[in-house]
Amino acid sequence: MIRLRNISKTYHRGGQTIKAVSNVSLDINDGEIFGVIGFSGAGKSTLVRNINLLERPDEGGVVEVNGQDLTKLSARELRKTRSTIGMIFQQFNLMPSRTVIENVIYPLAGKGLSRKEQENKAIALLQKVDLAQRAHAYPSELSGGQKQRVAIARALATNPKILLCDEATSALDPTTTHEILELIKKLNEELHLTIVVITHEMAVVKDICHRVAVMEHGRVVELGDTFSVFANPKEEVTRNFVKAASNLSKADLLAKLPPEQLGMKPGEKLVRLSYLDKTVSEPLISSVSQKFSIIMNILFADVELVTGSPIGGTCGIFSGEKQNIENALQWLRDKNVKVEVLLNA
Amino acid sequence: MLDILNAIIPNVVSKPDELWVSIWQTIYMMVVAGSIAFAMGMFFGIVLIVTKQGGILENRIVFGILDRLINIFRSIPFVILLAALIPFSRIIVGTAIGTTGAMVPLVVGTVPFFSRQVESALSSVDKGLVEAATSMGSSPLGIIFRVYLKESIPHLVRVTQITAISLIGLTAMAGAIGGGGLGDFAIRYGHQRGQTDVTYTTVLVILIMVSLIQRGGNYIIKKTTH
Repeated sequence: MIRLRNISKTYHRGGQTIKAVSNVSLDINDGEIFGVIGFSGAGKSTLVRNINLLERPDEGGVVEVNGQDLTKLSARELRKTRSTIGMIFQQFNLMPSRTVIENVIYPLAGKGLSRKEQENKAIALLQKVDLAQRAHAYPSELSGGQKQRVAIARALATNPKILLCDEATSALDPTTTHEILELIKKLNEELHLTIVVITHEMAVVKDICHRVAVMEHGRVVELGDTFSVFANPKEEVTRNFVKAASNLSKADLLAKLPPEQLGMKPGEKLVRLSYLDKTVSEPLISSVSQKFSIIMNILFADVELVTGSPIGGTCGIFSGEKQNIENALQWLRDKNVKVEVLLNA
Repeated sequence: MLDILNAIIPNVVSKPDELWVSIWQTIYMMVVAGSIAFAMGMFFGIVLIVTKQGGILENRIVFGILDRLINIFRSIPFVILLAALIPFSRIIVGTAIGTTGAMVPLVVGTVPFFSRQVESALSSVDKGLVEAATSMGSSPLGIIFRVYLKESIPHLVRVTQITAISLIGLTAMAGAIGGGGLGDFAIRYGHQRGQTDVTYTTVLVILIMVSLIQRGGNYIIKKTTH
């Protein structure tokens, strides 16, 4: 369990003070994948560096990992504790003069293992990340995704219980991002690792994080399980993330057009339906058409899977008897679907 | 063969022993002063890098003092240093003349330059590597040896080449205080007695030394760059 209490971090640069993190308190449970999402400059990287004290919080901050307050440790004890917290980075940070296997062995030095034991351990880790065949390559010969796999193997070499991922997929293409996320998820399940993921990409959080904290201006503005945070965003910044990831915001542009241009006849309505529940599995659209004898002309739909549950919605034009449409919309609202009438023709 | 040499470089052929002695004196000064300056320059370069703002052992006072000292000594022309350090040489090595007497000014003249070069070589190491090593629990000493030094070997070799070559130039100047060596040889015969063939021969010998340093260094750089 990671407990952060009253974490603030102020930088003094040339007479200016910049507050990168202000008064953040968080609990991260054992075995969960915890996401911290925010746009760049929100303070998330600084916050995660407080967990292994790469950055020290201002006076009064408490960083407790498994019941131990790291800020109170001596330099030597802190180094020992740090090796129980793995970390991977956006730029991978592999040592270019060392081969893949030597990179993985790096953190094993001085741990009382023989050279042979170190090598065996490194090979086992490389097998876990599917890269044993490149053990003797240099980092410059690897692709971005492979480099991050090596970095993961290296971070796991000391058998940590915690893995910190600082924008670990931001330098990778979408396919490779997906592969790395799958690997992280697998490690979480197999090794019961507690994983903290820092990202500015909604796609990362929605794929793997159990819980998420949304950061803005150094503060945590929203916190909860991933599905509820994104199904029901309360803060502007959270809504922006959801919007950025979803096509449904395009409907706002359509609503600005004259109805004729959308081919709408008088009495028809442009409606956006957003799913708020994890239980939306029944065929809502066809049910509503049959029940109320109306027609829904779907313009587009966008459904994302957030931690395995669908989130998103549909945008379309309802046509039919005025009363039927009203009843249909009410029925949908009762089903806990968010209904927005964007345009009346 | 001897006839040809006699025709081209008569004044060198007439005193081969002196040429050999001066070559050995230059090599002796290079190796001894060079090794001491290498060790000291490495040390100061590392101290600069780790005590700098944002360094792993940030220390404003140590950095400030060392930084200024290096600037002061770098701005003293070597010829002046040779004269100014005479009393100091007497204390350290017991004499201020000859190749041994030249050691102290050679070291003092080389260390500040080499420290700066080492500093620049080490600052080419990606900060992310240092951060990663810290996150893996490396100690400051571990980071110095296993990250800073290990990762900048090609760069360090390059700055050592540059410094060694400039040290050859300094050993030639050290001849001015009776340090001996090729510079002394060239001035005494080539310049003062107008035996220009002596001058050209010393230039040729120094050229060979420079290219050996270049080749040796380039070989190591090639082997350590991945």
